[in-house]
Amino acid sequence: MVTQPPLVLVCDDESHIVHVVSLKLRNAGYEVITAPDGAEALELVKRRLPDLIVTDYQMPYVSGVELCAALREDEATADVPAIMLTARGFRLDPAELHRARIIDVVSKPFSPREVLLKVQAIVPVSGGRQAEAPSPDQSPEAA
Amino acid sequence: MQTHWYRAILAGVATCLVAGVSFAALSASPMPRGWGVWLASCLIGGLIGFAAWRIAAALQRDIRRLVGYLHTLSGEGATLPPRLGFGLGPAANVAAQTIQAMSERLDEMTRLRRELELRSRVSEAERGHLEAILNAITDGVVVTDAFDEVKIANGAAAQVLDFELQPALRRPLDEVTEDARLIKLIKDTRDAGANQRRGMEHRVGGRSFRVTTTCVAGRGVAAPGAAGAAGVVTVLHDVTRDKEIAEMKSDFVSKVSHELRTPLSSIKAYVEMLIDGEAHDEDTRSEFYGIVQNETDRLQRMIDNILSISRIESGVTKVHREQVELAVLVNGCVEVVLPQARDKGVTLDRLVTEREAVVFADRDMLVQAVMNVVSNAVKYTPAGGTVGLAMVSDGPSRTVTLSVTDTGVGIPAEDVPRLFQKFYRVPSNNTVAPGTGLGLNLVKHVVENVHAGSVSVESTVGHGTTFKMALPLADIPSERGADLLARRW
Repeated sequence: MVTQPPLVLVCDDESHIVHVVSLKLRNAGYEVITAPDGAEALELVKRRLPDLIVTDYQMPYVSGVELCAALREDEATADVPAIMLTARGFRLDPAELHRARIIDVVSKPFSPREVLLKVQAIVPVSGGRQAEAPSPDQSPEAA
Repeated sequence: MQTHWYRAILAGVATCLVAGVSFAALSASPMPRGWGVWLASCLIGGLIGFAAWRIAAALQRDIRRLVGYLHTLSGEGATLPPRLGFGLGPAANVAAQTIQAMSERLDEMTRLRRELELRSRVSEAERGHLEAILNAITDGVVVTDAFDEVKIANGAAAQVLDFELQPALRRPLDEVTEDARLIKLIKDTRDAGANQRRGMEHRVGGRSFRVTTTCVAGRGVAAPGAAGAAGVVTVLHDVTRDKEIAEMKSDFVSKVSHELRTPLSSIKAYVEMLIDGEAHDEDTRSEFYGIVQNETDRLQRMIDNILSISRIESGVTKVHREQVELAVLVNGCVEVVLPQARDKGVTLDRLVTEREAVVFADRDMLVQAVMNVVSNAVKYTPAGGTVGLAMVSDGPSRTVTLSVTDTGVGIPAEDVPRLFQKFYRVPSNNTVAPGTGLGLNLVKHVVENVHAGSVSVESTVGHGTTFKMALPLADIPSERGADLLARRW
């Protein structure tokens, strides 16, 4: 039995945001996979089930809320919690967030420290996943 | 004249007396008695006949005078009644005076009638004037009386509430419109009494209205319960466009806020990472510094573009027009973009065919527009690609068209109509290059709104895009034109 670090999917169409959040989480001991939009994130989740998703709200093709709502429809991904980053200046509908099982919302401009604290509160590094052995086709930088 | 007739009558009487004396003398004479009687009878008969003839003549004359007077009464120019003589006597004079009084009353009534007609015409003219004013008002206006009957309405109200104007007047309000909310508001206002005002936001036929009702006081009859209310003036002000503008402003602020937060997020996050020592080596630190610098530049560009667009849209921007040699201006833009193109491995082809084109334009604004189009072409063209610039003048339309053609990623047809909208970025090209979604909107504003030109785009995904900016040519003095013709770009 090998204890693997928790897997976090970071999804944002702004490459700098993806880069900075990924780096912060990796430096804190998380394994990170990334996607530039909701559609690609959905494909990625089918291949590797993350412990947590950190997603932007406004993205082309599939928004963050649509991404999470789509995950809830699939039994395999229904329980994956999500944190949403948003640059919108108003509060998101709590009912919509609840339906999409979005546990927390972080407003842009955000502090990477704040994101890390929220991620640690949901999925601590010490509580990493148990796995027999890593699969050879699983790449941590799938996107 | 009258004296003359009195003399005639006296003469007749004297003649009778002479005849009587003669008759008495004859009676005493030895003449035969039969002759005397005959002679006296003849004299008396003659006198009576003469008198009858004179009386008949006098009557006829007076009647003629009266008829003539009555005739003049029926038309213009009636003056004093005629003085009547022997024929009709005092009774006729009384009748004439009565007729005179009647004539005077008739004259007074005629004058009053004319005055009323005049007032009526003035009133009609004023009403027509009032209706013209009401119909010139773009807001709907309905005036109802104390009994909720429509007294006045204008064309705008008829159009909004869908009724025919003339048949609606003097009809009960609830027969004119079925709009229950509006009817209730008008009745409530009327019940509230004079000088009371009510208002509401109301939607009619898919449009939004600000409805204001005011109860007016007046001398008219008030309905029971309506204290001093002569009626209600209802004004329907169409606020659809105002609401759209408010929504657009709100949407714009929301989008601006969102777009500004994005580079600001990067700046804040990378600075924090540097402070927290998350960049473990110098290369990573340099990378972070570079990102912060680039995102700061992006933020500045965005703010500049937003301000430029906002100023142009609001009309407060000052346009400094001058004669601008377009080829020289384009060349300057190309020089700025050239290093970026070289770094990326993109070739810039100057396919200019018009060197003498001069436009009457704001140089700085035009530079901003051309820079946006040329740098966009370089940004969305992969290494090894080409960006070509060409200018063609059109004599008949007096325009010059600058074309910027790239061999870049192209734009899907469904995105082309939205390409010039504020903050719109082609989703499939979003990751190809950073952008604010404001550049092309600014280009459209500068070319079309400021310079009365036109912008168009043709694109094929995977093959490239051509942006065309057509601008009106300036009418320049021939010497200046000849000088420009001699120049080479």
